[in-house]
Amino acid sequence: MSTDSGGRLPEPSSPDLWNLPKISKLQIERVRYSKPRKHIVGGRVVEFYEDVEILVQTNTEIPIRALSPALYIGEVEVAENEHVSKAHYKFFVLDEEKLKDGSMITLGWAGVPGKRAKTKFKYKSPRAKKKR
Amino acid sequence: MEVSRERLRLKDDPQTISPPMLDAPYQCAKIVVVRGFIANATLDVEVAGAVVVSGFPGGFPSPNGAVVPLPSALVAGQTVRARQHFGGATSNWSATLTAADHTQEYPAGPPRPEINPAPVYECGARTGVANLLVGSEVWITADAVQVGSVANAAAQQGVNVSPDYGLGQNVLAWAKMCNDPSPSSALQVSQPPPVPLPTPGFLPVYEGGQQATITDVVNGARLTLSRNGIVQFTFASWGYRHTVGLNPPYTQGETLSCTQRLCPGDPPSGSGTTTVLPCSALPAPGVAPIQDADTSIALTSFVSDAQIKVFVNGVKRGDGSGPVVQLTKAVASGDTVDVYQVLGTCVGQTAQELTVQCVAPPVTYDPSALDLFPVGFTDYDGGTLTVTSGHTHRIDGTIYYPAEADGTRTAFNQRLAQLGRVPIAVLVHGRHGGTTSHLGYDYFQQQLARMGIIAISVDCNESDTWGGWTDNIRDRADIVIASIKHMQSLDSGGDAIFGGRIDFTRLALMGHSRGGEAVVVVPEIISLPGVTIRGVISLSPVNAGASSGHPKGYVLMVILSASDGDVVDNSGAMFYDAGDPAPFKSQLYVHHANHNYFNRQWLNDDTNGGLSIMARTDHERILSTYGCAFFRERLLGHNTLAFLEGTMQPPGVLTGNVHLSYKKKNQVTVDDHEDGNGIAVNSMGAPTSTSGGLTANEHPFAQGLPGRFNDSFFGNTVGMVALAEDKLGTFRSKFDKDRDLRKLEVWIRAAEVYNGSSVPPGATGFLLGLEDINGVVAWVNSDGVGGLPRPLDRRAWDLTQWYATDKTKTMLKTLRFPIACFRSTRVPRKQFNAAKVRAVLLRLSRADKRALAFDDLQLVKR
Repeated sequence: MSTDSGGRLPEPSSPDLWNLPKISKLQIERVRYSKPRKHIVGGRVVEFYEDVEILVQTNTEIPIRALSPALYIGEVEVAENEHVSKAHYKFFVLDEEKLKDGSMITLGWAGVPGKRAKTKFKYKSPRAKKKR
Repeated sequence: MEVSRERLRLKDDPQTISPPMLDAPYQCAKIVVVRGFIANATLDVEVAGAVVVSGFPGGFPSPNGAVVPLPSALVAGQTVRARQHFGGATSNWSATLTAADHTQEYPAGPPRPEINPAPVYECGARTGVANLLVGSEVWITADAVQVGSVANAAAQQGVNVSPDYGLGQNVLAWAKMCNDPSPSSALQVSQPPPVPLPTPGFLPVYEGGQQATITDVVNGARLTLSRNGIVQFTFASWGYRHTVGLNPPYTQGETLSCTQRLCPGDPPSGSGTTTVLPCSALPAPGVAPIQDADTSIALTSFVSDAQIKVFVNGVKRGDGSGPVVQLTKAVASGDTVDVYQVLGTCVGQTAQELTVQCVAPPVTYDPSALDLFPVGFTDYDGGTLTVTSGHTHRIDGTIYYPAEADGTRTAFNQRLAQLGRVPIAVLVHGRHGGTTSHLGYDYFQQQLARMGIIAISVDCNESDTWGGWTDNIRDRADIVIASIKHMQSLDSGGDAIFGGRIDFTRLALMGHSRGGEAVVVVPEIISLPGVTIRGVISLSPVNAGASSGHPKGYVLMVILSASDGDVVDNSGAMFYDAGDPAPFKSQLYVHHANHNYFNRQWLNDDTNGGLSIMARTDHERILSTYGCAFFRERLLGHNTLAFLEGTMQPPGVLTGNVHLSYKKKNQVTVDDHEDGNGIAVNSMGAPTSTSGGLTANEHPFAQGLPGRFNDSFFGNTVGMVALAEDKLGTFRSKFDKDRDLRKLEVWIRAAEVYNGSSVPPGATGFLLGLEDINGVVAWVNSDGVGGLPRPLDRRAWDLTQWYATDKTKTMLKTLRFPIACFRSTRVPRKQFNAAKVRAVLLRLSRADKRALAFDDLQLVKR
């Protein structure tokens, strides 16, 4: 009888959880909601009638994992987000006062400061829309 | 440590022999099972104060003890005890047990029998049945025809089967106690025999012995044993291992051989052979750690028919057999224990020598193994819900429940239902992508269901794709609450399975990853009438800030994976630190655990092989045993807290990797460092002081806060870090008044502080001292209470990751110092007075200049 000496089967593929795509497009806009949008701030539901939204297009999908991606505007973390469509994400600025025009915008992970690559994108506060 | 027995010069007192032990007796039983006696001892059994069996030949104590017939069936409330006679000596009586009415312990009927081992095979002639009450009647059916039975069964009983099983038969085991039937066992379908049959092996056989243990036995096989080439007998076995007795005792060089066979037309196995080893090869038995006040020792290895002799400080204190030997007197910490084994005229030449520890928790029973009911399964679908973020999610998931029979949508267990409504556990997964994450805790759900808890797992998979952070945690909490509401509608709406069955005042939660934070949010926002959350398990949670950050109003258990490759900050430590003990809280910090392996659907190692990770089965065992201990205490009122306190350990778990923190409500706090009154005053308002070159200060045990000692703390509390230049460095914390500690323990959370660059070789530790009103100080070494936890070194891997930051942590665990361990040894004329203690001292005696972290110094009621 022959004896098999085959090696171990490979482990299931394990994506690099920390691998962040590059931002290919970025758009900052102020949005007014006809119906207030709810976010959780300090453990409570807060209704926002207006948000600064940062629309981000990336060159690949952001990994789905426990931690959330976050935009860092300077050193300010903007983590609340929505996956709009493939490689398109919308980040919600919940505390606009902390942001400074001219701050570099980078992509990182919520709560875990890390090596954030330089980008060409800088924050510029969108002007408030006139009330109709 | 194995040492020469002769050098010890132990004097064997033949009149000192150990009392035996009894398995739990039940009403209606016509037998008792006696264990721990010396091979070939005779046994007496006393029932209700009268000796009803005298001089019963015990035979061999291992593996199944002696099954001693009684002249009449036991009646509930009767006391039962046993003793042994051997070599002209008579032991003391065993501990007295009281015959129980099984309906008190098992009001829904006797536990469910288990065919063990499984599977059974075509042509099998004997089957093992476990999970039986001693004295019950057990029988086996194959395709609904009874093929074997035993009246007066032991807890694990072999049942001979006739005729042999055919191929593909449906095999079930059944039991009844006092004519009260149990549910049937899980179904086993008889399998084709393995081809070829493995050759049996033997455990080592020694000169002077009379038993042989045959290994690699196929379930149900017939074995033929030969001695020196002469066939002795043929017997059937339930498999795996089988121990038989032979006479006369073995002599060196004899040969034993064995073959096994299943179907008559198939060839037998090859012949396994062993040669009897000389007496000089007989090793010392293996002995489990022993702790202060133990009245028995547990063996980890021994020869099955060996007489086990135990000496404490050179004086004989025990003489019995494995796996547990009763002692004639309790041991004390620091005692030296020597143990050796004897086979007939062969006396082992070495002894196992060990020192009694202050704390060395015994390995006891498996809290996840309570197997009472068949398990039913169904999905649920509660329609859709618009969650806080505005998305719409389906409310669905899986339910495992105690049932009349295993299977999909089988009827709810009627006898359990007649006793009242049944508690419910709600599980929720984290964000992993895909559609099946909610199926990953099926093993845990089944364990809960078979002990009488409805266990649902909530499907949040769709929400994984939405993105979101804090909002997503809230959405998950919404989905969990909607699932509970749906279960309420099934309960109140006359559902065929769950109508009127669920007790929502006994509800507990378990969440993993993002689900681990969602279950901290749920108690803060749920407003469903009639729901009381008794407990929450938060497993490797994130902390996105979706909750108040202050768990309160329920009992919290946090499980943290030290080698988490996703939630690398072990954010759940903040929940434990900030949580109220209500009436207790618990944390498991698990070395070599990753993020994913608790969920069977999360297949990849989140560290990508970068860190040393336990096997998936070891992760599951930790969640199963500690999780079941938690839910049993919280939902069923079972006495399983000892596993969370650390006074007992579950078997089959890598407990060396599990570092427990535990805090009880309403204890006396000496110092928790939360008072903002500085290091010089403790929480009692009494002064502290340092001496011997020790420096100490209070620091936030948290990330990023000013005043932190270094960046290795990831919790949410304030504690103390101490550092000593030499061996006398001491921190003294005075009590507010002289205190009687005789019925208390001193608890303290402690850890070796990670220095931010490397984990030095070798453990460190400290001495904890108590100072009485006469100034007498009694010390106990942290090594004697389980040891100081060390940082799990993950630096090299962390630095290669995107975040490139060392996440090696200083994570404290609770050390328990029983008062009985505090004895004055250096000042014999001034004995330590535990009734009047005025201060507690911490001495960093190792002179290794390592910083130690401390918190939550408490005096705790035993």
